[in-house]
Amino acid sequence: MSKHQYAMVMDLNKCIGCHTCTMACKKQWTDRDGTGYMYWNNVETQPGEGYPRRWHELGGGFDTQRHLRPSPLPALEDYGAPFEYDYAQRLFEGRNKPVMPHRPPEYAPNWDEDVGGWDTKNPYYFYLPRICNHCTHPACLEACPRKAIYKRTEDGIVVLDQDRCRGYRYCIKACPYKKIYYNEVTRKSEKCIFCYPRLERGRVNACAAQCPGRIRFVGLLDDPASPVHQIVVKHRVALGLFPEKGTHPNVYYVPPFNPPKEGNASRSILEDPRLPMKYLEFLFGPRVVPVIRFLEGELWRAQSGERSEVLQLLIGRDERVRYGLAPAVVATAAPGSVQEAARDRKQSPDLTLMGTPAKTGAGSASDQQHKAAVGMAYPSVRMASAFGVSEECATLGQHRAGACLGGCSSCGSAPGGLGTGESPEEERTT
Amino acid sequence: MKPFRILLTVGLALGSVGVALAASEPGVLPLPVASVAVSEATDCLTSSHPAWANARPQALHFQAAPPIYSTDAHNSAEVPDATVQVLQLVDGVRVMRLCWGDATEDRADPPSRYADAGESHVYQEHSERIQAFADAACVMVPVKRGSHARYPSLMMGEKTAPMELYYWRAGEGFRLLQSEGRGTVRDAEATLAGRAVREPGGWCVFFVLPPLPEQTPVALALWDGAKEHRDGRKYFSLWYEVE
Repeated sequence: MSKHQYAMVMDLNKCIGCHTCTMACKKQWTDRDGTGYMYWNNVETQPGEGYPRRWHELGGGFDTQRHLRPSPLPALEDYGAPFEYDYAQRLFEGRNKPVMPHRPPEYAPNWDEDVGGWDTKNPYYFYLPRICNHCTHPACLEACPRKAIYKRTEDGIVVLDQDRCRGYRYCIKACPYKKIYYNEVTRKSEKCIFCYPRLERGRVNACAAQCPGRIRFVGLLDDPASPVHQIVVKHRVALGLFPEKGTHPNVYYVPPFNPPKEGNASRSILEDPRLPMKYLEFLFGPRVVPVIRFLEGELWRAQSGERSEVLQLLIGRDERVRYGLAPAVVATAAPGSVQEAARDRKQSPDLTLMGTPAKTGAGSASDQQHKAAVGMAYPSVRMASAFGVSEECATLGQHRAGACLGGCSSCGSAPGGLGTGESPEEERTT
Repeated sequence: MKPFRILLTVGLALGSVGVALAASEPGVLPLPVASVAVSEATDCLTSSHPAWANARPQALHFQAAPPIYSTDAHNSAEVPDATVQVLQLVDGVRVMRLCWGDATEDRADPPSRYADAGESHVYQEHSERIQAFADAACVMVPVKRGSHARYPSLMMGEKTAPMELYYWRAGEGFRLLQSEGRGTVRDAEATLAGRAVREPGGWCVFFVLPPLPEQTPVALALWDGAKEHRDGRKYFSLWYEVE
C-alpha cells in the first residue's frame, strides 16, 4: 500500500494539441534504440482511433469479478511504424529525389488529427493527452508473473524493474490504456515513470513543465494543500478515463465542455453541447454531466462578477498554483531499509490457473529487488552509479531526496547529492 | 550342461523380473544414453554424425501448460511429437539431440537497423516485431545431480532444489539460466555450445550438457512462438531419468 499518491490533472478545455508535452517526454526518455515507436506521452484527437489504433476497444483491465481481461498484443503497425526521411540525398548528395518517408506510412500516432466525429450535422473533436495512469490497482502489476512491476511505497508511482523483466508482455495485454511498450532491442517492457527522478529533485514532470497551455496540475492526491487534491477530491471536477476498467487511474481530466457552440452563448451548454454528452460519458463515466453542470455554474458566477475558487485554480496562472510537489514528504515515506522495502513493496498476487488472485505473499529482498525498491528501476537513471554516489548511501534515501547534507561516510559526496542536473550516461540493459 | 542350463534359465528369469520391476516402478521415465567413442562434442552437432545411429530415439511425452487467464482458450490436446537421443562422450559430456514438430519458424532475431542509419540518426536500432514470440527449448537439470528421493518441483525447481536450465531460443542462441522456483529465473551469464537446425516441419536442437550421473532427473520444455508461448505458457515434460 502506497503511503502517498502522486497524481496529475489535465484540463481538457485548455489543451491545444500542440504536442509539446509529447516532444518533452520523447527527448527526456524515449530517444534510445528500440524506443522509436514509443510515446509514453501522446496526444490524440477524440473521437479517433488513438494510439495504438483502437486501444479502447482492445480490452485489458478487470471484469466485475476482478479477473484480468487481457487483450491481444498490438502490432507495431497499430502504433505506427516509425519512418525516416533521407534528407542527405537531396541536400548534400545531389540526388534530388523527393524527400519521402522511407516506407509508406499506413498509420501513425496522430494519424487522424482533427478528424473527430459528427454529431448530426456538426463536426466535433477535442484533444486527449495520455500518459500512464499510475493506477491504484494496476492491471499490469497483477499480470506480471515475475513481479517486475510495483507501486512505489513513497508516492504510488508504478515502475517496471528492468532487472526482473523478461519481456513476457503480459503487462501490455493487461493494461486497458495500452501505456506499456515493448523494447525489442533490450527485450524488456518499459513505461512512463511519472518523471520520478525529477519529482525527487523538486522538479515537475517534463510534460507538465513544457506545456504552453498550462493544462497540467501535479501533486499528491492525499495532500489537502495540493492543487490535485483540491480539483479531484475537494471540488470533484476531474474524472479518470474509463473508470469501468477497474484499475482506478490517478491521471484525471477536467472534461471538455467549453466553448459553447456559436450562437449558444445564452444557453446552457448541456442544452446543445458542442461535444455529445454520450461520448463524454463513454470516456469518463456518468459523473461527467454533473461535473460539467457544476463547472458551467462556476463560469456563470465568474462572468457575473463573483469569484470562483475552482476556476481560479483551473486557470493555473503559474507553477505555484499548478504544482504541489512534496519531495521532502515523499522522501520521509521512502523505504529506509532493505527489509522495509521488501515488506512494503506491493507484491503481485499469485495468479491461480484461471486468473483469480490468490493471497499475496511477501517477497525476499534480493539485491535486485533492493535496487528496484529504491527507485533505480530504469536503466537511464541508475543514479547511484551515474552520480558517483555510493549504493549504500543511496539506499538510505538521502541522495534520492536531493536532501543529502553531505558528510555521509558511505561515499563522502558533496551536499545536495543528486549531481548537476546532467543526464547520466545511459546503461544498456541486456 | 544341465546345471548350466538351469542356472541360465534362472538368471534370465530373474533378469526379466528385474526389468519388469524397473519398468513398472511408478514415475520413472527412462532417458537412454548411448556411449560413443567421440571426444569432441562439437563433432556431434549434426544429425549426419554416425554416432547418432547408435542412440535409440526416445519418444517424449509433453503436456500443454493450462491457461493463465480465464479469457485464454483451453489448450487443445495437441502437443508436438518429439524425440530425444543422448550420447555420452568419452569424457562423460552428454550431447542431446531433441527434435520436435513445429509448423512455423518463429525467431527472435536481432532488431532491424535502417539501411542508412548514420551517426546523425537518433535511433540506430528499431523495435519491429513487438508482438512476436520465438520458438524455444529447454533442458532442466537439478544442480544436485544423481538420484533424488523425491523429484524436485517441475515449476523451475525450488529453494532447496535449484535448477540449471540449458535454454535455446531461435534467433538468440544458447544460454545457461538458473532458477529456484517459479518467477526466479535469472541469467547465469554463460554461453553454451549447441546447434539448432530448422528441418521441414520442425526443429532439431543439439544441446551440449555436462556429465550427468545415472538417475539424474531431466525435464524438457518447448515453446511455440506462433502460439505466443513464453514463461510458463509452454509444452512441458515430466521428469525423465538419465540411464
